[in-house]
Amino acid sequence: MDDNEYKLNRNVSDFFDEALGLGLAEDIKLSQSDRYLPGKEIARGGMKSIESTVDTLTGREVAKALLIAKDDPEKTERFFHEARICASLEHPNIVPVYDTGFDKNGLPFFTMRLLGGQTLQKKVKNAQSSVADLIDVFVKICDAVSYAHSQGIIHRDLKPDNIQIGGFGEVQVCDWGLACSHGFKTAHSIHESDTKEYILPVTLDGMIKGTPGYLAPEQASSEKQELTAAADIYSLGAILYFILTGKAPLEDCDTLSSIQKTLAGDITPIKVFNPDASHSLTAICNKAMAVEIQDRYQSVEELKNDLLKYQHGFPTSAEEAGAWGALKLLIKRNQRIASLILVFFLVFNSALVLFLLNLSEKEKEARRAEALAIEAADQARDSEQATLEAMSMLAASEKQTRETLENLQKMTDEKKLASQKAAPRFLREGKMSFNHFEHYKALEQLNQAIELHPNIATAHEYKGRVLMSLLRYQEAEISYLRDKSTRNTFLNFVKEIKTQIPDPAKANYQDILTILSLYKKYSFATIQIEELFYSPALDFLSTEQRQDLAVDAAHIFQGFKKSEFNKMLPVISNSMPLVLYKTGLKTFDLRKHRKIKTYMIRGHATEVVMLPKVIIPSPTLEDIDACPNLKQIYISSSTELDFFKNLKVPVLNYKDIPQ
Amino acid sequence: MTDFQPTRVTLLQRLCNDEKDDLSWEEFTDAYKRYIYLLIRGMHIDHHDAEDLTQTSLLGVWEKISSFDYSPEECKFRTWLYRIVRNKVIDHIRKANTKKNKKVEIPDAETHSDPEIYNIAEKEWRAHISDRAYSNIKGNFSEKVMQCFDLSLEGKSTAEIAATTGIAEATIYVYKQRVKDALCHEIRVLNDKWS
Ligand SMILES: Nc1ncnc2c1ncn2[C@@H]1O[C@H](COP(=O)(O)OP(=O)(O)O)[C@@H](O)[C@H]1O
Ligand SMILES: [Mg+2]
Repeated sequence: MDDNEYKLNRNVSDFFDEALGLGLAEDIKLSQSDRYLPGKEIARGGMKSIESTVDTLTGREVAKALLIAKDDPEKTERFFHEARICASLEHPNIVPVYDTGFDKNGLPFFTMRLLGGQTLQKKVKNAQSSVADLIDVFVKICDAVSYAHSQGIIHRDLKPDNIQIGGFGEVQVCDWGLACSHGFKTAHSIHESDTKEYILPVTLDGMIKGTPGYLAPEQASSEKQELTAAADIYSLGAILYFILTGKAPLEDCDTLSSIQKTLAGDITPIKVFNPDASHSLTAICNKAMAVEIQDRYQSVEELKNDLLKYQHGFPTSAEEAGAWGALKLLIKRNQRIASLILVFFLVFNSALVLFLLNLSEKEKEARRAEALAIEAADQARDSEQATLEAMSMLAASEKQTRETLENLQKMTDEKKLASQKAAPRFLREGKMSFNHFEHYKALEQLNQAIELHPNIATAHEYKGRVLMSLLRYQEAEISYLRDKSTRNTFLNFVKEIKTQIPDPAKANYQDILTILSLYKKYSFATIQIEELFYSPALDFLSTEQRQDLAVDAAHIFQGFKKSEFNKMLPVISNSMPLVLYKTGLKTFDLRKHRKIKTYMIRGHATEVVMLPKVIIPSPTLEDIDACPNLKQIYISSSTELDFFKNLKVPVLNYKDIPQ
Repeated sequence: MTDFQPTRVTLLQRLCNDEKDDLSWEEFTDAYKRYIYLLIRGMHIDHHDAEDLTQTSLLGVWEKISSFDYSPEECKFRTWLYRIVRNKVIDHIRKANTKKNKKVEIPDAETHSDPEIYNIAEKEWRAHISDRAYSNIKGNFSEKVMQCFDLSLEGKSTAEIAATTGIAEATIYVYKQRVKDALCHEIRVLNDKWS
């Protein structure tokens, strides 16, 4: 080789990065400006217009939020602030934000999951759902808000319009446009040095941010106050109010009087609009909407626990459960979840069960037994505590189930990734199997690799080679056409052989000769000849035909003059012993064989093998294993005897070979 | 910069699985000879010694390759190879030093940390693969097309190329793009095959 073989032109190196991987990045960069198809508006709020559009990059339909006041830098700022906050919150009940930026018209936008359903507002107004269903929804809202609080974010604009309910009951809290971190001061003046305008509850033109009725007194007040989670808790209470009454609190008031009434806590009682409203829920609602922060629930979690208790029929912390009230609840629970409670009571307090049975028979007797009841209730408290714990465990396990489901979803995504990652393994195994001439196994593994990752490099080429040695030329051609590495020789070969052997499935001896001649013509490597000779597609040949084929192959590939098989044996053994496969030969003399593969010895006939000077232990041992009638092995002095220590067959040295 | 792709199992797999035969030796030499030479030259060895060292390194790698533990995450093949080559070079310099009884400085290779090794090894690999890809595809295009591409490689603007060759600018764009596509494709193929 000349010195030029080392020369190279470094100018080309720059293309390396571009060729590898960065191609996709380029595509993404390019398509960024044109990423979203023109959308059409599906909804509009006070701040944002929502369009449905298609993300051409991922192919999914998304909702694109655009700022209505597009030239207002302050609102633009807040708009992006919203996108940020929302994107930082990952929760099943909070709408996920995908992307944000300026679109090709230079307008600020962000995209999020497209929600096709309705708002809670419409759902309630259209009276489509039962209170029980709506309470389920409400619990999920609490979940989302509780999570946001745990992340230090308060929403500040919770109201039914900002709650989306999907077709399958998925609940998503939207519109984080007023959201801010815990503990921000609120004030009216933009000149307050330590406050940013966008967290103020009231804008300069006097419009209240947030919605009257859902606004907490401290949000509506003009005093500078720290905004805390309590404001959201108030709004949650107001949403519950809306669920129970079908009306927003203070719905019929104008803005000014609604602020005054909010500050005074002068809200029309729920009973006025809905005389049938549950006493427990009313109590929960009142507690959440208390004017003074310290009278409200101290956390969303606490509010939610009360709801869960209500759902399972226990006295809530909002209710003052006197003895009689407790008794009523006891009976209610007894009806609702009779069997469960019964079991607990049987276990913990069978006396109370008796009492309960009495009660259901005779109300009067029950009244007389009120004293007894109080005592019993006292006694029952312990067991009730246990039941309660069981209940909260139940609720917790529900949560766990939900989380597990979410994780499952994540896992399927990961599985997709994993399957792509697994493709190279199948490819590797496929190649390995083919190296061991396990044609069908190799084919299956390569197919799997391709299925997992259709463009995986070299899989198509290998598949083509497997198919070629199985004489399945039609399919081999397809594989070679898919192979990108332009191995034109294989492709050309397959095209030519197809014309000469139209039906390779019925190939006869003569056809095999034709194939060998073409292999020669295309100067295929020894490995290809091995792949063919060891292929199950040649199993139709008889022992005699194999011998003839060995002679013919030696003639075609090595140019030896044809003569009898036995006479030609020594030269064939030295130059091309692979063709001796299945020729019924009893003694293989491979001492002069330069290649290291010994697959040809496999078979029942083989009795004596003189191994090549250099061998690779593990495949050779496998080949030896495939000779059930082997009596003797001879090895060169340079081969380690140790390799064969597990063999039953005697292993001797070359020099022990009888002359 | 690209991410360092874990060395895929193609040529290496055959070698690591003891499937060494003449064919794989040829392919191995084809894939790594010039690369190893470039690494050695990068350690300031002159051409003559570098040629010898390339041969011994190739054989060294060939012999040791079965002991190369193939787990892409842990040791990148090219980093491993670089270490072998570097050791050969250090041996060579030490021997030369005792013979001539004079001090030739051992290349700073000895003190290189892994990330540095990685960077050097990667740079040469890119040059080697890209250039080979270029040679492979060259024949697929007409002289005129390649001339346009070569001129652009030299940093000539499209206008300048148009002036030199008399080909329309729009056509030059198309030519350049075609060669570039083929080149990138071939780089990917080679990198897949030989890594
Ligand atoms: N991801 C979404 N998919 C579908 N509709 C949405 C989505 N987000 C919001 N909407 C609809 O757009 C309306 C306005 O959105 P919202 O976030 O409340 O904006 P604003 O800040 O202007 O109030 C909502 O009431 C809702 O009906
Ligand atoms: Mg809104």
